[in-house]
Amino acid sequence: MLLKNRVCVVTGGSSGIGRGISIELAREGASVVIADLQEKPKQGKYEPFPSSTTTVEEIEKLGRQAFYICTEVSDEHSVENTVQQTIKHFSTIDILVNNAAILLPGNSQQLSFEEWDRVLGINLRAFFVTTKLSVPSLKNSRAGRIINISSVAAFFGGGGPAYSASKAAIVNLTRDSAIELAPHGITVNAVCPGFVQTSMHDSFTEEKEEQIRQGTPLKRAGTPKEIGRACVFLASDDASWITGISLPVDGGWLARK
Amino acid sequence: MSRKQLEKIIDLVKTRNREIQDKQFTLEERRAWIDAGCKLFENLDDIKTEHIDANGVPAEWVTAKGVNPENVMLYLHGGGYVLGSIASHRGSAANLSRATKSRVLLLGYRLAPEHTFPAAVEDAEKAYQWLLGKGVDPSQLIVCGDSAGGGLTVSLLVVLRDKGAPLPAGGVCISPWVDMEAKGNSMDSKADLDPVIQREGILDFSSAYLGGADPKSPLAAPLYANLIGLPPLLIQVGTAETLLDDATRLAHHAKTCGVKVTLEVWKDMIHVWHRFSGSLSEADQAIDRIGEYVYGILYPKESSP
Repeated sequence: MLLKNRVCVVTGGSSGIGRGISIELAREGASVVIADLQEKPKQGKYEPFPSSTTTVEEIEKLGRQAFYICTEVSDEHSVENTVQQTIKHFSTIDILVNNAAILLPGNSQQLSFEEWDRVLGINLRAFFVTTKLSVPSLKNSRAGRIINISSVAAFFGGGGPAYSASKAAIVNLTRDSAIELAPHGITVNAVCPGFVQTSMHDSFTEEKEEQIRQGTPLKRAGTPKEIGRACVFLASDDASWITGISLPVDGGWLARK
Repeated sequence: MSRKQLEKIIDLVKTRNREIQDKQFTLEERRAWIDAGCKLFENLDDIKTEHIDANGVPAEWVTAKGVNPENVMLYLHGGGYVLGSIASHRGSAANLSRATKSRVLLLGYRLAPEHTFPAAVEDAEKAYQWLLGKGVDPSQLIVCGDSAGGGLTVSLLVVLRDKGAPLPAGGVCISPWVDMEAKGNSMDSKADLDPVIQREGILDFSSAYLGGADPKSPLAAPLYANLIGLPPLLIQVGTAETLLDDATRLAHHAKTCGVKVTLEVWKDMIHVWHRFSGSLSEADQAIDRIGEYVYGILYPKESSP
């Protein structure tokens, strides 16, 4: 077990990549707080069957502890509540995984100002909010970790103005936090997933998906579990001398760019 | 559904609104007009009233026959912080006293524009402290308000929490107004359905109340307040209200701050439909629901009044 007795908070942990991350962290012995707007997983076209279990239930099956806290990551008061409840329950936070994010379709002419604010509020500002409010507790951890989930979309255009900008911003927020928090023994790294089948991509056409698969050297989409395993590595003591990086987990997608 | 009852009431509301515009009332006349309008639905049978001074704030005990004297509700009336009074809301307080079997302290807090924010919050806190000073047990105390009073209810709870004062057992917000800037989508999407409140009126009220203060001040617009640690809240709102999104956003914000929230969205109901009790069946039902909710909080093991 790589993460025995570590306490993790995973934003957006109910569905998709966040669910995969939460389960893999728990598999390695961590206790996980699922901070999400809803507890039930989102049902998308990629789920082969209705995943009726919650992340908490999946983690309990592994014999680990987990609980859900209804959280609006763009609202600092809500995040403060989540941090307080986590500390009340587990007395510490060792690992923060900033994962919750949204993708709203549209170019600069289609996306409204409100939609821009919403995307940046969740995909960028919220990462700052959770970091700011968790750091006092992370400082007391033996091996504090922050893992920010960015995207391969951080490194090239085409993902729409708000999403692309937010994901690129996370890469540099990660570097800045890494420098700030290194003296406290906290490492900060980003993971940049390529195309992973989650409900975020429900709007993609079959044609577009096939194009993405063919553009991926490993010729397939990734799974939430594969993103979760990368997070386990960065959270573990094996990654103790790694900070400030952005690790693509993308089937080779960026190797072609 | 009592469609006929509702249509009749909407007609009456619209007629009285038109008269306000046609007659070009002064503020004093408008206040008197609102008081008179509310009295049309008042039923004070088996109600005792007693005027008192609650730490310098005028108030009135409104008590139905057969209440449990230990149970107390502090009632904060609506009217955009500009209108409304003990006189306008005596009937509502009477209905709530009957439904919750509580003594209701109806507060005549200071109004804008004569007294701007945070005068109303200060008065609400004074009255709450007065109740505690009179020996009222906070675990038997509920704070309730409609419209601006619904927002004021949340603001009061935030102030009490910040000061470390004993919190009441719960809060009830009827069609609460919590956003001074009228930014909810329902401000537009429900504009055609709502005979009571439109954005222009809301912005007039907020500018009178704020008197230059930041419209996002958490105690004026509790949508922006930290709600962590607040007692359970019941929020009731109608689908024919421009303020629908004030209620849904407040509920969401409170829930994600860890507050136990019960949000009830009543189909086709207009702003604070409760005041039409006796003439609209949903008004009586909504008041009964408040009774059940309050009882559930005050007596967790007993089911109904």
